[in-house]
Amino acid sequence: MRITDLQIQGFGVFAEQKLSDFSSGVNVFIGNNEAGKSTCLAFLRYMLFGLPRKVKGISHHEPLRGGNHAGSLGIDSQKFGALRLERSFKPKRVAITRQDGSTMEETALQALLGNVSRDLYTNVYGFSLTELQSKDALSGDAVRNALYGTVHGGGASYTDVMKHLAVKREALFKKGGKVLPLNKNLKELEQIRKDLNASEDSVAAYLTVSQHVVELEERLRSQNAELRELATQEGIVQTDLRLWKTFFEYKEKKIALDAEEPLVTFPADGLSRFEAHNRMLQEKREQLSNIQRTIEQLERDIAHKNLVVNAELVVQQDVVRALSEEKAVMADKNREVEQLEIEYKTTQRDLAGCCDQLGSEWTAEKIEAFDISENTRREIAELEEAILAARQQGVLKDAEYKRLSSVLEDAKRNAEQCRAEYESNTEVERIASLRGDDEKPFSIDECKETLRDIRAQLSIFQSIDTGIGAGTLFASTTFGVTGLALILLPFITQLPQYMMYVGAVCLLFAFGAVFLQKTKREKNVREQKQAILNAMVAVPVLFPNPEVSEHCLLNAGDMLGEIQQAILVEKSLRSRLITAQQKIEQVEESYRNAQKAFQIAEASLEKAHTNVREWLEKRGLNSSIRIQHVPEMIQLIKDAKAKKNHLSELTARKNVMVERLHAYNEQQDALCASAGIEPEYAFDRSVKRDATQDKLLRMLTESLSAKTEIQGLSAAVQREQDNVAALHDSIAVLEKEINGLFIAAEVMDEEEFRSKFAIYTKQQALHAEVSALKASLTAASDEGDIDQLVARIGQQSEQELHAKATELSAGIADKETEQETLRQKLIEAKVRQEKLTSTEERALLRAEGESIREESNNLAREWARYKIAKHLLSRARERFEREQQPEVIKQAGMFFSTITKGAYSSVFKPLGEDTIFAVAEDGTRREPDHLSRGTVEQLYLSLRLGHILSHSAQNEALPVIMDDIMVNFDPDRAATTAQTIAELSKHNQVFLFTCHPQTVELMQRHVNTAKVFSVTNGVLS
Amino acid sequence: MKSTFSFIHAADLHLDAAFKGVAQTSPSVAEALQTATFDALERLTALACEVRPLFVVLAGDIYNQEDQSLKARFALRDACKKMGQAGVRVFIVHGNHDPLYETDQTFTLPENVHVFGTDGVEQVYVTDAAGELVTVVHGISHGKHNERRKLARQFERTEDSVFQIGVLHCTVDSVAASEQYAPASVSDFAKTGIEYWALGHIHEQQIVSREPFVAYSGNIQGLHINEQGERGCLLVTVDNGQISAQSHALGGIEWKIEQIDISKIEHLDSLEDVIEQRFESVKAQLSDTANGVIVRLILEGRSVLDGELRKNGSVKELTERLRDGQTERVPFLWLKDIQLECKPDVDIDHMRNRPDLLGEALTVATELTAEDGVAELRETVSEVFTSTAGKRHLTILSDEELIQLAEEAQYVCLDLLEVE
Repeated sequence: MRITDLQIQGFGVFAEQKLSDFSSGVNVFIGNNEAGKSTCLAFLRYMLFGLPRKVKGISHHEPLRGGNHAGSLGIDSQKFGALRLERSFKPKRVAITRQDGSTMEETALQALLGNVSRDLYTNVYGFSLTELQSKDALSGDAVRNALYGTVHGGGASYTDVMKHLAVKREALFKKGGKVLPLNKNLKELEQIRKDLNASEDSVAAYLTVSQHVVELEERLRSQNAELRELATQEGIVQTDLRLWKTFFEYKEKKIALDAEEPLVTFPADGLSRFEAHNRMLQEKREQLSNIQRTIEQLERDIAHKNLVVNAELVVQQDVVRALSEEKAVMADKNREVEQLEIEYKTTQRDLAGCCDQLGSEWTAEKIEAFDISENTRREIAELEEAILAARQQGVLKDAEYKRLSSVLEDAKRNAEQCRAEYESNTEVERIASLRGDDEKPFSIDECKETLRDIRAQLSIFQSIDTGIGAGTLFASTTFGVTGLALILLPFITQLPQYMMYVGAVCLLFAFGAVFLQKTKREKNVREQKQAILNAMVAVPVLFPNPEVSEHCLLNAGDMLGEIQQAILVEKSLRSRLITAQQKIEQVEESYRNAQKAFQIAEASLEKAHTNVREWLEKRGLNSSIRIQHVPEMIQLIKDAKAKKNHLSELTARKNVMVERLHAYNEQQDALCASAGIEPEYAFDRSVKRDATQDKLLRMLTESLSAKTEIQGLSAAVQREQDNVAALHDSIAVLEKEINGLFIAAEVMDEEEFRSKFAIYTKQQALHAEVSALKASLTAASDEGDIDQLVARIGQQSEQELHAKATELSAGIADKETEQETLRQKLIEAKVRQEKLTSTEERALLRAEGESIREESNNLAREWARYKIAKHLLSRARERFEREQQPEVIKQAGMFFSTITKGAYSSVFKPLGEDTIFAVAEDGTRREPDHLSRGTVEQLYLSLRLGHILSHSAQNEALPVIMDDIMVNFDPDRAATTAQTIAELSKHNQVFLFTCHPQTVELMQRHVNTAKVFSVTNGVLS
Repeated sequence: MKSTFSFIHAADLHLDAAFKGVAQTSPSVAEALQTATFDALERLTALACEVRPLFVVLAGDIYNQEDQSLKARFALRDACKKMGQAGVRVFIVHGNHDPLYETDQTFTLPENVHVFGTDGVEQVYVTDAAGELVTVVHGISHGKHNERRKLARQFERTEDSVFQIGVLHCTVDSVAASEQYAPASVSDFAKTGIEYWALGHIHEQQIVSREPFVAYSGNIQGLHINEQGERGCLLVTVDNGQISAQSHALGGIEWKIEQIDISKIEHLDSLEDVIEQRFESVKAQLSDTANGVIVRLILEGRSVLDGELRKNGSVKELTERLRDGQTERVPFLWLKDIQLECKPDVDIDHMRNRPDLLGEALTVATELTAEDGVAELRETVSEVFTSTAGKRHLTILSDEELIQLAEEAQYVCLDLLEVE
């Protein structure tokens, strides 16, 4: 594979750069430091492999001087022939086009690169001094990388990949680790296992606890029975103790009761009943006196109310209400009367105004007498119409008269213009001159006829002039030719002499004939010419310069055409002049008619005015009034008439209202008089009708209200009187009850009754106490056998009973404490049982364990994946090295030997070891550490070249790019290196970047075909 | 005289056993899982109370002895009590997970329950309401965790001319070769003359033989990803000696493995859509009784998404996103995990031929994933898996899993070594 040309659109310092015609061997790029050589190297790398991942120290060389971040390479490959690789770095796009224009997939590029990875290319094919002399390049892995290309995609070397895998694994698990997820999980699982083992067997524990519960319950039951027995005994002792006092009290009270015998009699609840009756009696009496006071008060109120009532008003209340209802109406009427009076005065004033407007002679009577009927209006309208019609007619006729005057003017002006036009026209003048004063009028037809004749004659003349008679010509020619032939023949053939003479004769005859013919024709021509000239002179208009020629005839034709045209123009102008004259005559006639009509209209208008004046006089109106103003006057008269009528109407309405008001006043006065009520007066002693009416109404309302109250009071008096009767009855009943109690208690009065009750009460209390004590004792005894009880209590002293009770209480307390302890134990056992029943601790532990186990299995699988990946790579590397080493090392040894001019014979790398040795001429092996810097670089250059060569053997040979690699080489080694590169360039295209001109010379010396390009501040040339 | 009756055959209840392979669930899912075995028992009880068969047989592994779960015992007792109230008797044999110890015998069960002892095969005569003998049920329990006796051979039909049933927790040789608890063969069963064998131990429901009728009812609730689909019991009807066994689903939570071909999917968004659609279809296919489903997704096919998915944390993020909102619904769906069995969209064979480290690594991977490479793989991962804690707590990797890991490892190498 070879690069034929490159184009950079924008890449680092390069913008729009093109280079072509690369050598398929060595291409040297010379440029100073910073000129862009390394950028150029990066461009070639990136074009082939795309942009690397952007990490620290890796630049994408974004365009600094404009242009798209893109470029293209022309490629010539063994596999696919000529290709163009176009790559845009941003946006990412790759296009590979074949020479025939067809596109290829990106995989084709990979195939072309022989699956050489980016890093392999960077380290082995396209390397700079940096790669060559980097310290890392001396380490074991880098040696491998450089040597075997065991560097891989994504910028990760074998070491990086292995480190990455180790990190991944160690993030999951580490032997002896504690906090890593898998270690942690396994530890937790172990703990759960221990916890599960350590936790008790809940089933066995449950069974034990259950047994314990049964035992405790049994013991509690027996304790309960004992306690119950003790409680019974204690109960008996306590009962005896409690009854001890009751028993002695009963005995004492019984003796006292017996001493009271016999017992007095007293009605049941006597005193309370007496007290109740007596209290009620007092209350009733008090109520009675209250009611009587109330009745008196009510009667006083009634008398007071009666004073307020006006009986007459009450009787006539309908009249009062009716008058009150009319009150507002009457007030309105009063206002209306006042309004009517105002209106009457206003109307009167308007009427006087109308009369003034009409004139001093116009009185009310005259106005009244004036006829404003429809007839009058019609007459006025007719007169007005007549005047208007006459005036309109006058205006119309005047307008027509004026219009015709103007039309006449126009017609005259038009005729004038036509005449002037006619007279000034050249064609007319020409025609006039043609016609001239000749007696013989000019005729165009004759001219035409003459022209036609002359044309005929001319054509005849021309035929004569040019033509020679055909027969004559033929005979003359025949004789001429024959004669000539006869004269010449004897010179050619053997003919007699006479024949020559005959020929001479014939020839003479021929000439003679021709001469005669010519003379005749000339005479004829002359005659004809004269005839034509004569004809032409006869028509001087057409032939001002007669000449027998076609040209003259053509001029005559043109002349005739012009004359014809002039005739037409003259005719047209003349016709227009005549028409204008005729129009003047017509208009003059119309003008005269219009004048007459106007005069008639003026007369009609005057007649109409006279009629109007007559009519006005007849109607007694001022004849100087114009007819248009008459309707206004009529309207005035009409208004005056209307106002007069309105005055009459107002008077009538006022009278009606005044009458109504009088009637109302009279009615009110009558009412006041009958009810004895003084009306309300104004300052002028006139009656204030509204106030009076209000007073009447108020007094009526008060009277009615008082009357209603009196009725209510009377009813109350009646009710109270009924109550008095009822109270009298109650008092009698109560007095009877009290007497009954006295009789029952066998006493006479209240005092005696009360003292007897005191004795009765004392006796009853004693009796009750005795009964209560007896009841207590009976209740405490078995089956109510009080005697047995009395006997039992009587046997023991109170002290003995107390001692026995104390002893029993202590026993019970002990038992209760013991029972409480048992109960507590039972509760604890049951709680434990319940806890065992409900505990899910083990289930939860198991579930947790399973969950962690699942996680652990997943983590372990992930770990295993990385572990196996590591194993695969280790195994792969071992094998790779074992299989790939010999060929690469062999090739590298040969290159190294050439470069060092045999100072070192070969390269050696022990299998399985990272170190590489340079084998010196004497066979000693030297490690890179023991070599000079230049020699180490030469060693690694040789290794790279070895790889390239061995790789190129099976694959497409890729271009090799070297950036300033020989700076540390001495001149001899540089020369041998140049020689080696020359050797390499037979297989692989080489791009060599350098800043040393001597390197360029060196390469040119070793490779004749080497091409040199320069890199200067971002410009390639 | 032949008669008609029915009974329920259930086994391997494993009450209160923890679900395996489920981590970091939401609280609601965790609760559902914890109660799942009990819910299944409740369904069994409800079925018995509704159908009212003559009896229910429970063929061992009702609970895990090592779990020492009282809750399991009480649940069993309560269930038996309810069945007793419905007039249904219960016959229990114990299995390898719940061997019948002396102490257990003090744990009282209701009167309708008969627990077969360990010393020898016992017979229970079952009569109908009229007192007429309907069937004889034979059974024996495991007396220890590792019961190796050939218990089937101790069974023998009584002389009664009725249909007879054997209840045993055992391994039938034709079904499973390993874990030979109480080993038995169909011929052992045939020799006894017993017509129906209600077996427990194997969790997959299956009819081992029809003459005699030998069946595993399977477990009533799947407990890990290899116990997919519906789980339940058999309702057996015996009509004049003719047996018909009908399966009834009891498990409230199902396990499912769903495979999705991602070769035509180009974006993660689209992948999420496809998965969510699949989730909906999985839920739609669940039985009415299911409360939820635990799903393992396997992504397959050569896909451009492969690299994206294999990036660190990518699957975890996707899993968490997909779980979001699924656990609160009814039925819930818990995405257990996503397994990547997909391949990158590159020509691995071509890469394998490359003359560089990646090519070599891929070649090595091919060699190690061959049959004789597994030992090397196992050795490679021994640091974790053969450590004391690893051996005790981690699941031993099968050969297939190791090969799968090696394949995934080669994609790790590809990702790390290959230029993007």
